[in-house]
Order: sequence, then structure tokens, then C-alpha cells
Amino acid sequence: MTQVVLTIAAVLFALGIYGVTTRRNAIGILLSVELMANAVNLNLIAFAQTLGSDGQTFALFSIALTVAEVVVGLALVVLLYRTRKGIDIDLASDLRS
Amino acid sequence: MTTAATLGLVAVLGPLVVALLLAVNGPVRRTGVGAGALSVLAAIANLVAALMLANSWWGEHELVDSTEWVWLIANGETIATVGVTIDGISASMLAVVAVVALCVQVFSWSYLSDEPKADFGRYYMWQSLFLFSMNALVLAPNLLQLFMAWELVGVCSYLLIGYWYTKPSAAKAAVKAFWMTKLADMGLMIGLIIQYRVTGGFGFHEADAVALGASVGVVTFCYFIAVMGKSAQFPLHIWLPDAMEGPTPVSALLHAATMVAAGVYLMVRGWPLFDLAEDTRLFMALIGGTTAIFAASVAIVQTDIKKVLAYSTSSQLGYMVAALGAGDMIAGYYHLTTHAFFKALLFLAAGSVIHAVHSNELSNMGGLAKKMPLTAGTFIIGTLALTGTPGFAGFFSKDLVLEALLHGAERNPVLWIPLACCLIAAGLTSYYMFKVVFLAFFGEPSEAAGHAHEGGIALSAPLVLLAVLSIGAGIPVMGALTSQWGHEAHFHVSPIGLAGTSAMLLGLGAAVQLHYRGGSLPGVAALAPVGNIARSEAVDKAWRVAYKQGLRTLAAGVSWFDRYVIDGLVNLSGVALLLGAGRLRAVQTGKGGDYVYAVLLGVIVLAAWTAVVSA
Amino acid sequence: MIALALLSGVMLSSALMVVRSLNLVHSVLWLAVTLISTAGIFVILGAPFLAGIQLMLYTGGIITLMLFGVMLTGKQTGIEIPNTSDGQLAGAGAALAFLAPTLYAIWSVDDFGPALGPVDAKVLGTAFLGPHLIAFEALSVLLLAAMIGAIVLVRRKDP
Repeated sequence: MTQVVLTIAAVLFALGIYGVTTRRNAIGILLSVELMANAVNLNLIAFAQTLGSDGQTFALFSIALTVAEVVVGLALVVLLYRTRKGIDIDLASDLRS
Repeated sequence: MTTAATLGLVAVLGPLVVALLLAVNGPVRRTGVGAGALSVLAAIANLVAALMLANSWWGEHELVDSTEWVWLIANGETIATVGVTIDGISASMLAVVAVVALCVQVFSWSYLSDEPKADFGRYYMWQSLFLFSMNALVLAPNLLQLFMAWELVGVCSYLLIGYWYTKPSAAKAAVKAFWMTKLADMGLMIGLIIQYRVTGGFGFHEADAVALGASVGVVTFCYFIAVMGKSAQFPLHIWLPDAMEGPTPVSALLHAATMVAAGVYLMVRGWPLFDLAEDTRLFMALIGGTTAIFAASVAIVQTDIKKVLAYSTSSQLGYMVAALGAGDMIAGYYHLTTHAFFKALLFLAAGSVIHAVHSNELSNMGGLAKKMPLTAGTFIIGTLALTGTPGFAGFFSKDLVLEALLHGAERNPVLWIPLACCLIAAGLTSYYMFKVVFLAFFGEPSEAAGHAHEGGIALSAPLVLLAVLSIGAGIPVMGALTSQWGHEAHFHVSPIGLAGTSAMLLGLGAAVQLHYRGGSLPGVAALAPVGNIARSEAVDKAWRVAYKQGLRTLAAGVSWFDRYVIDGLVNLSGVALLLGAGRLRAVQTGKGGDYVYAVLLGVIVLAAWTAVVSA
Repeated sequence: MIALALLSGVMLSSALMVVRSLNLVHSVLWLAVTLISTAGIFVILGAPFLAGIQLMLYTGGIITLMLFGVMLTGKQTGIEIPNTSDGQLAGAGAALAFLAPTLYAIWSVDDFGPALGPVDAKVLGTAFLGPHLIAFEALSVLLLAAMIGAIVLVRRKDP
């Protein structure tokens, strides 16, 4: 049972990686990050099933942190949109020499 | 804590508290009088503590108490401690310092009363700092604390010589004193490092001397180099006459009674070490004898009353060093204490004269005995003590020094040289001191001396006290020395004592003939070339050349090395970094996806690493 | 087990749509489906309270996301917002490079032990206000900081 759930979570996480690396617009990336966070929460709860309720407590913290991350991430997206007139992250490539 | 340690701490910390208070509290310092009052109060407390200590333990052979606190720790091992050590020597030295310091601080009150208030406060701040440093030096439980205090008194000396720092000559003299003593202090530092490497400590007791083994000679020689700088021994004495640019009370305290005696005190303190170092002591005796006669000869041709006294100080310190070199610690130390009193007295009396005539030159004085009878009387008492007139303090201590050299010469014939030097120097001392007395206090008054008058109570009280001590430190202390230290103290008429007294009388006779009667002596004209040599400041010139040629060349070499080798290496690494960074910046693509790949790669590498490690 | 298979099937296929859809609004909606089915899996795994939290909190977050997605699409501002992908092969390679060792690690463990029963919300509440109180308070400060940070970031320079 646990192994099955962990496998599902791993696949979900891999999909998140695929999304983060391929998506071009910032909101798409943010959605993929959400997928990965969700996979992590799934893992935590799967472990909580055999190891005790602390895993669930941890998952709660994780959810709250994800919310905070979304808030700041979206703020950055808005800023990007405002300064670059678009949300394609390749617009923000000032770091390139 | 024992009573002894508590009293010692009071003596050390009282002046420190005042100095720090005046240093951080500008408004109090700028009141001038308030700062002075605080400083004098600390000096009084210090005197009370010192007298209580000296009264109980001044003749004590054994260690009374040594209270120490851990200071430096490395690898769980204590490297050094700080604290206070009370025994016969430190207790008596503390009392000498305390008496002279209080006298000088009281004297300064009147002497510097015309100064601006802020400068007055600054002066007393440094006086307190000096008193703290000197007490810390005297009570040091090991040579490392002594070294720190040694440097601190050096700093105070620099600051006080340069008290009138707007005067170029004073600023120059301060720097010169600092340079010369620092140069010599390298010896103390190197000696301490060697001693620590060999014994693992900085102690100065018999056990430490034994632990040093064969290196005791090297270590004591290094220490003696520092002593030569601090105690103005030939050829490192050249800073002392220039140090007279400071206020006269400063000269009395630092450059006559206490700080310059710190060098001799270091040898007294570290006597167990020096006692074992036969070769170092022979060198000491020769240097001491040379200094005694050389400085006395130069003193003869000086026309500045303070410079006469400065060379005289150098000469008398030569006596002490010679006595220690001959192996008699008590003789050297006893001469140190008596000298502290009568030389401080002479300087303060000279200060009183300078205060009255506003000049250091002997030609601006004359006939002052009628105008300033108290100053003249005390100056003459000081002169009698310095020249070793029977009955005065200097007679007994100088006699002990000569005896010590005589005993030494019986064992080692080389010591006849310093003995002869000291005997001749005794005659010269007598001549130049009485010359000063006759020129300053008798004969026709100069224009400036015409309206001179005696200073107030603050000027005269210290003079009287020190005059009493210049007489009193003679017979009573001599008796006590015999009983307490079991030292062979002679009251009987000995050949060497007679020789010393005859030399003194000869000098007196010459002075009377030449400067009181205004007559002439056969052969004086023949001595003119010698006088010219003495005036020529040959040693100063030699040092100047050494400084210009040696030090500047060395500095130029170091500068070249720094500019082209050290800086070159730094520049090279900078250039290498710039080139490398130019290549590396291509890694930064600015594309979000690439960074995600990099993070992922990092995660996988870490996971693989963990797998490999746990497998 | 059947319920788990169903829910995970829905979850994974909707997740695939999230990363593949060409329409941003669709992506957002597929994410909502993914999250809701995850909540279902939470119930199966004995975490009913967390399932509730997942629905309430994430739905709120998703709605916000969606609103922004819609707001920023071309209809209102005239700027076209594309939802394209590039480097699919590299992305898939990266995902597989992660997946393969992870699956190997998961399946090399013999037994994770017996499953415990469902966890009561009371237990979680006690844990929050008991042993994890300081972490809980720190989290609230973090949320506040995130909120302030977001406001500062998006504030217009001219008032």
C-alpha cells in the first residue's frame, strides 16, 4: 500500500519537474511547483500512515508554507508582468552576460 | 584576598581609575583643577597603601603574597597571569615611587598653574596613567606583566615629554625617546620569547633561573639591552638629555627617580637570573662604568641646568648598573632608592629656579641664594647627597657601590676598569654639581635672576620633604640594611670610602677655585679639546647616521619587497580571478529552465552520494 | 484499493493536462481536479482532516491563481498570454532521471510496517498547540511576512 502511494507521488513529482522545465510562462511554472508540493504532502501522509500522526502535522505545516509561497510567487508574477509586459520567464534573463 | 594583596591592588587600581575617568570624561578633565585634585587624591591613597605595605614588609626576604589572575589561555593551558606580588623589594620600591610621585604631583600644581585648564587636566591624566603603569611594573608577578607596564611607562614618558606638543623641539624629543627606548625594548621582547620557549613561563625566581639552564646568559643579555635603553646607558643614553623638553616635574619623576630606574629595577627583580649569568654581568659592569664616566664628562660642559642633571642621572644609573654587574644586588638597589630621592629633589629645586627666572640656562641665574634661600638650601642638600658627602644618603649608597666593585675586582681583575671609572666619575660629579651650585646660587645675579622670588607652599613642601629623605635615607636605612638583609654594611673608614670622598673633595676644590673664586687651575686649558669632544654630541651623530643609512636602507628594501613582490602576488591572484570569472560567466544563461536543470542535477548528485556513502 | 486506483488515475492524468494544456485557464482548472483527487487519496490514507484542509485551502489558492490567470490573459489587456512549452524532450529526460532512482529506492524497501488507523483532528490540534507551538507561531509570522512582502512587491511606485 505505502509503496503504491509513494510511486504515485513520485510520478506526480516527475510531472511537476517536467512542467517546471518545459513551461515558458511564469504561472505555468507556479502550477507545476504546486504539483510537486502536492506530491510531497502525499508522501508525508503516506509515511504518517505507518509512522504516526507527526507526518500529518508536518503536512499541515507544508500546506501553509505552500500558501505563503503562492502569495509571494504571484506577487512576483505581477511584478514581472508589469515591468516586462508579459509573463514569459525568458523575458527576465538579465543574469545572462 | 590577603591584606597585602588588597593594598597592592589599591595602589595599582586607584590611579588607573582616575586616569580612565579623566580619559573618558572630557568635562571633568577640562576643569583642570578638578582633574588635578582627583589625581592627587589617588596619589595620596597610593602613598598610604604603599607606606602600609613598606612598613610591614620592606625588609622581607621571602615572598609575602602573590595574588594572580589568569590572563592568557591557549589550549587549556595558562600562558600568563596578571596580579600583584608583594615582597621586600616591591614593597620598598612601591613606597619610593609613591613618595616621589606625590611630591611631583603637588609640585606640578603650582609649577603648571599658568597652563590652560584643559592642558592642566591632560597633564594630570597622564600623571595618573604613569603612576598606574609604574605600580603595575613594580608589583608585577612575572616578567610579562612587567613588560606590559614597561611599555606603558614608555608611552607615558612619550606623552609627558611631548606635553608641550606644539613646540617642535618637544615633539621631536618625545619621538626620539620613544624610538630609542623601543629599539632597546626589542631586547626585552626577544628575551621573553626565548625564556618562554625554554621554560614555558615568564617567572623571575630561582626555579625559573635554574630552568633556563644554559640559555640564562642569552636571556639576561637580551633583558640588559632593554635596560640600557630604559636606564639611559651608553650608547643608548641619547634620548635622556632631549627628554628634558618636558615639564621639569616630569623630568624629576620619570627621567630621574622612577621610570629610568625601572631598568635597574628589572635587573633587581630578575636577580636570580642575572646572578647566574656571569658573562652578562661582566658586560653590565663595563657598560655601567663607561656610562658613569662618559655621562659625567658630558655633564661638565653643559650650560643648561636640566641637561646637567640629565647627564648626571645617566651617570648615576651607570653606578647602579656597575654595582649589579659586580654581583651586589643590594648595593645597586640601595643606590636606586637614595638616588630617587635626591635626584627628584635636585630636579624639583631646579624647577623652582626655572619657575622663578623663566630660563634653563645657568647664565641667566646667579646669586639666587639670597632671593630663594629655601630652594638654594634644598638644592645644596641634594648636591651634597649626590656627590656623596659623608652623612648624606648618597654617601652610603655610593660607598656600597664602590665596595661592591672592589670586591668584584678581587675576583675578576677586569672589574678594576669600572671601579676606576666610578671613582673618577665621583670626582667629576662633585665638580659639575658644585659648579652648578656656585653659578646658580652665588656670585652676581643676572638680569633675569634679579627679581626672582620663592614659590608658594606647593612648590616648597615637596622640596623640604625630599630634602629630609635625602638625608634620612642614609644612616637609618643603612642600619636597617645590616639587620634586615644581613648585608655587610660598613660604617668603618675603609680605603675605598676614603678614595671616594677624596675624589669628591678634589672636585669640590676645583669647583671652588674655578667658579666661586673665579680663579684658574693649571692644565684646564689643556683639557679644552676634551671639552670640545664632549660638546660635539658624537654619539648623537653616530646614531643619526645609523638611522639614516641603516634603517632607511632597510625600510627602502622592505618597501620594494612590499610593492613588487607582495603587491605583485596580490595583483596576480586578482588578474587570475578576473580571467577565470570571464570564462565562468558563460554558465549564467539567464534562462529559468537551465537553473531548474542545475538544481535537479544537484539533487541527483546528492542522492547518489548518499547512496554511495550508506552502501 | 479500487478507489485508490481510480483516484490516482484521475489525479495523474489531470496532472499531465496541467503541464501539457495549451490554455492557461484550462491548466488551472486541471490543477483543481488534481488537488481534489489528492484530497480523496488523503481520506483513504487516514487523513480526513487534512483532506478537508486540502479542499478549503487549496481551492482558495487555486481560485486566486485562476483569477490572475484570467486577468492576465489577452482579453483585458490586449497582450496575448501564451501557454506554450519548449524543450519537451529535455524536460521528459529530467523527469525520468528523477523518477528512475526514486522508484528503485521505493521498491527496494521490503516492508514499511502495518498501517495505523485514521488520525483524529483532535490529535493534530493538540500537537499544534502542544509540542509544536513555537513552530506554529513562527509559521503565522511567516505568513504575515509573506503577505507584507507581496503587498510591497506589487505596490505601484506612484501612490
